Amino acid sequence: MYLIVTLAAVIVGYPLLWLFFAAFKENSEIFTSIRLLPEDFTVEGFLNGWKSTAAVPFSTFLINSCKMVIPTVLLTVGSACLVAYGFARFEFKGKKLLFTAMLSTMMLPNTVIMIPRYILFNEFGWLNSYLPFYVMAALAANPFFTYLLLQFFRGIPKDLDEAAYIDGAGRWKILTKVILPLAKAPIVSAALFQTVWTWNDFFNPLLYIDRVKSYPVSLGLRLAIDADSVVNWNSIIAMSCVSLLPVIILFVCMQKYFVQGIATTGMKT
Amino acid sequence: MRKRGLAVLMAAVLGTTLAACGNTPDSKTTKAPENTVKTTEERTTEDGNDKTSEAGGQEGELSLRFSWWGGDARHEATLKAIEVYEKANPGIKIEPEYSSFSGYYEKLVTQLASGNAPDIFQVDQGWVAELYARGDAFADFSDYKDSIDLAQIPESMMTDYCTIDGQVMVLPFGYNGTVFLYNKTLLADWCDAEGNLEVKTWDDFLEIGKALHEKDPESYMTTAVTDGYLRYILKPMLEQITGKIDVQDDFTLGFGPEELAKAYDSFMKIFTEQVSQPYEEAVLYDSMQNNPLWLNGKIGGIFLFFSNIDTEIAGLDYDYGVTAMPMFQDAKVSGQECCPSLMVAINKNIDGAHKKAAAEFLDWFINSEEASLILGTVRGVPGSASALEALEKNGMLSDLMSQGIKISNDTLSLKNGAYELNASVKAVFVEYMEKVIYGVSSPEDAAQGMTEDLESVLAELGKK
Repeated sequence: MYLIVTLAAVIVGYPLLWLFFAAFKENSEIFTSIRLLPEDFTVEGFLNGWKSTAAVPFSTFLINSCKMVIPTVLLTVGSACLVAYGFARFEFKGKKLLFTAMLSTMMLPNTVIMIPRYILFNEFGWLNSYLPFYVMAALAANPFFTYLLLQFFRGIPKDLDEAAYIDGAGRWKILTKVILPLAKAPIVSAALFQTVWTWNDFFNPLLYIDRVKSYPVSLGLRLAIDADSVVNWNSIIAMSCVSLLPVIILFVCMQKYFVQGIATTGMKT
Repeated sequence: MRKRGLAVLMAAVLGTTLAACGNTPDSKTTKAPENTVKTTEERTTEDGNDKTSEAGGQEGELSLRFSWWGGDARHEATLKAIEVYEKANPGIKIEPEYSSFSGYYEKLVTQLASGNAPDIFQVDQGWVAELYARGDAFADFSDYKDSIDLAQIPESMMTDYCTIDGQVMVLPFGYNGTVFLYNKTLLADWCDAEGNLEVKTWDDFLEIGKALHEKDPESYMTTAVTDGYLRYILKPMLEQITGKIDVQDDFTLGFGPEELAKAYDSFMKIFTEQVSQPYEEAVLYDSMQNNPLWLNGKIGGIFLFFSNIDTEIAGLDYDYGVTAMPMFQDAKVSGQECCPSLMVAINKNIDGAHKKAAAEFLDWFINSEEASLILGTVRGVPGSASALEALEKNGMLSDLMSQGIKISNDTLSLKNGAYELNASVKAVFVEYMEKVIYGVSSPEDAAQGMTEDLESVLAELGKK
């Protein structure tokens, strides 16, 4: 049994493994040999890649990505919790309508809202900053997370709220002291998903950010790839490895909650 | 009551987090939008009244946004050129906006739609007709004849590719022609005493290819990416048969189903006779630079634009040569694409002062010796005569490239139709080409279906 699982893990993990070793290969060796291990190890790819081309060092891209991702994730989780709490525990006028509206935005293809959004952000003067990402996150503009948490909140028995209420807790306290601690698992999953998605997002940063100095990693990596010029694959691959690290480390640390979160919300992606 | 109180509280919390995050992350990020606001203010003052611009702190400071796509070499050289230009022209600030090719067009169109496009932007020849049809993209270069020397661009290129309805909409950075780059080391048996390969006709080409594959079953005469099979082999064959442009500017086709079927027949021979690497293998790689057969010297040669010669052989230890495209015996034109490679345009929606400054910058960037020596061939072989001369004089063109230019200039070819590289037109070409290659359709059926589909796509385009 373990043998099969190990084998499967190797097959699934092979591309990553290849990526890792290819980072140490010479540029000419990458596509010409199928050997996993490089003929001679070189860290040139890392050195060149880190210096990067085009006047901006790779560290800038990494810092930019952090600046973009961390607030976005925190705001997403915060706003999604509040909105989900509202839908799960309160009765108010137009709740059904609002809920439908929220769900329908989930069905809206991204391409449809791309240009209106761009025009809007341009009018606000938010281009070339990360504000479009922050504001959308703060206003729970990604209904997927709201929906995810909502489903979980609904599953928490109302009796717990009422018990807390009898003990004198207000609505706010119920959320922070009762519901949120119980919902740790799905919250972590939401945060992880948002981290990975924002970290890897290519198109939105491409649209909203013009200045190379503010590019996140996903854009910075592509800078050097062009069909008409010599591509230094080893430095690109080396930097891909570097940019994968934060996400992988985060995932490993949070794995316990993440798996729980998926199991309890029945979410499959 | 409690509920309402809580709702207010939530809104307040949300509001404060929002405000906090708007300011905290970094002063730089919040500064950026201020800058953009400032430039627009500057622009409006210049637009309205020139005298008032003195009131602003930075007198005469004019900033131009310049966007392009490319790889490392192009970014580095362009940034360096910009630096030199800024030093020589203190009043001008050029803001570079560069990225890779993926997503560039989508972004440009979005920016144009919202009136936020860069002042100067690089475009691909295939987009020009489409962007021109929008009506709000290109400024007319001929209005700025005093600022930019248009006579350096060869006249045929100006009329064929740059001028639409009497207005000069785009200018070429570089220009290109299709040649055959072959590996002398691998094809030594078929080269003459001086090491030159003789492939005048497609029959020669097939013959050498067959013999090569028999000698070494791992080797093939040629390979290409999907786009390459279409642009460098199938379409040239078709043009050689018809002697006409495939997709003409009046939205008609230059060929009929019979001629197309004939082209397909010849085209398929390169696969059935194992002259080309099998299609399903070749399309796994998106460029020659990651095709192991090419890198390992197992490919006889590739069709390519002469501007790309140096890139494709970078880092490879074989001996190479260039020759013209093979032709059918009775063909009158070669079918090679001789066209501008990358083009540049000035945004129509900026004020006169910015347009003039942009034209002056481009004049330096495209025509001057100083700029050409910095830029070299990062945007292909220069389209401007003075820039090309500067490169030749300083020995900055490789031998293979110079030969390629000569071969291509000596070959009679037709211009590219304005809609030939249109995305929907190309999609039809690729679809039927692949159907034939994979044996889903016979050449005759595909020829019929493709002509019909193309006609309807063109009718749709023509309506606009």
